[in-house]
Amino acid sequence: MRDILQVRDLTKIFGGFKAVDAASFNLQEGEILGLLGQNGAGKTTTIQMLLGVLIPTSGEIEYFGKPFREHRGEIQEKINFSSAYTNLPFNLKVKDCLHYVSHFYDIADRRQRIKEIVSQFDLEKLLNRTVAALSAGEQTRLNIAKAFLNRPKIVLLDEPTASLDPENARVVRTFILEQQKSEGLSVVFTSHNMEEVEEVCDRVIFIDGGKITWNDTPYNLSLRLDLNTVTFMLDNPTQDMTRILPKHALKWEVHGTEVSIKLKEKSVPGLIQDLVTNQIGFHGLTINRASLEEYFFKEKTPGVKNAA
Amino acid sequence: MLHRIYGMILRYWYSTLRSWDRLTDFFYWPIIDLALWGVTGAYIEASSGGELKVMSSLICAVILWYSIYRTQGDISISILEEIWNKNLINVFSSPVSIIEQWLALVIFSFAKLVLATTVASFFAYLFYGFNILVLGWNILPFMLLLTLFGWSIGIFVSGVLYRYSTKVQSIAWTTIWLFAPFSLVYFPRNVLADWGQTLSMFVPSSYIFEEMRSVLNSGQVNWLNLKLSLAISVVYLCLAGIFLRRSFDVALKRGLVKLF
Repeated sequence: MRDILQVRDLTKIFGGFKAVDAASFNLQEGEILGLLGQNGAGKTTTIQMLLGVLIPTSGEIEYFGKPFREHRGEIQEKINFSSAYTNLPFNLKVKDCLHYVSHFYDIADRRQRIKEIVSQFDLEKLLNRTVAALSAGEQTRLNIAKAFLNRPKIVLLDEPTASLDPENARVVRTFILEQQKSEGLSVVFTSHNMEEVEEVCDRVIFIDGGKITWNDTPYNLSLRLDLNTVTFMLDNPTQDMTRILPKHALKWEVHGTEVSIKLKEKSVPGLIQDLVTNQIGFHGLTINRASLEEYFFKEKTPGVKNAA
Repeated sequence: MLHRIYGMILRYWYSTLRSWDRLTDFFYWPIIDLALWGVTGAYIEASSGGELKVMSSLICAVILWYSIYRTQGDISISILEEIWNKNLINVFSSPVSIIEQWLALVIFSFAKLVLATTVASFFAYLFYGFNILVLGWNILPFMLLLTLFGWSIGIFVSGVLYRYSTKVQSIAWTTIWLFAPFSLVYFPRNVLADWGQTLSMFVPSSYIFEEMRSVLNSGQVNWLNLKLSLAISVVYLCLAGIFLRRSFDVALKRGLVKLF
């Protein structure tokens, strides 16, 4: 797969504050790339520079092998975005918004395309309502629909499902994944929902203090953390666990008869062997690798990081 | 390019159509101004025993003033609306350029002006029997030159809004009134103090309102004054365009999201 977005040493300084510090990364055709980080880490600033609504202090952005600065209009025809911090005009009807925005792009079958998008995002019933009259979730759905109007090659989605209920968030995720498969869509995706990022993203970039701290697949990130959660049920958890725990556990929790133990991968067989050796009866055993969320907290919480 | 300009015009048209505030621009203010100045003119004429004939020039001035007032207001308030609606990123992350937005605003404001002037002229005829066509073909250069000046102020104000955002939003509807006394809308140049007369020489609209009174009084137009007005307006328009471009670059360096 070829790179369709290349970012080199991207830096943005506001006054004396470095919001983004020499960030370099790429996006491949058909790839979904997650940008993760705490509030103020530099994700939104990066997205804005990628959209062309914020000029970088230094660094280069190339889309489709062309410098963004010199081919701005041509590139913007092929990208689009949705974000929680922008709105379509409040006093306009949904159909007005889709109609006028469609004219911003060179869409051959404009009316047909609007029909498709309205159907795909289930907007039929909302067409004659003003944007102001929509719920937060409906507005988000409209923003995402707008982002797909021009059949973009790359979509930048800044917390796209932030105000959606689980069902609508699932619909959006499914749509993105379908577009990835059928159209080869590439996506830059920011979210605070780690499970969502794990489900959707092929690769994840962690940003902290404007710097990229890690860039890998969700699976490799969790391997890097080397933290597994072993869960099983015991008849007398507190008593049984005190016999084996000190050797293995980094952290453990008991909820009724269910025990969850966090430990390194290499310690998992030893734990199970100890359960058997000590004749501790257990059932319902599950072993889960570390989630992105755990990686995120490990990176942000020194205590946990050291423990791991 | 044309489809993007059309898209922006559609955006402003829908905004007008869906906003009672913006629709009132077409009839509320023309009726109020005509009623106010028409009655004032009638009173002055009656008080002077018919010696002072000012009603026609006051009504005509009200109608022509709309050429500046509407175009400037429509351009500036449309930019403000984009900021209030947090919609600028939707516009400028698309292929729409600042020049296309500017052209759309200029075309839209002119179309609105034609409609508002038609409505105002209708009411002037209905209330006072005044026919704006008494100006003859002169009405076309008068309106175009006033519109040109309205555009330049509107574009300058838009530049200020891109630089300082809603912190200075009141300039969108107050700036134009700074020029009103020196535009000589309702009185001739010699009424002003010396410094005011000098200042008015740099206000292109002052030449138009002077010529409007000249046409109403004597049917004569001094074309040199119209050329002077055109030259000054073109200079202002160019300066305003450069200022807008630079202000937009400043906004892009700070980030359009900071305008919200």
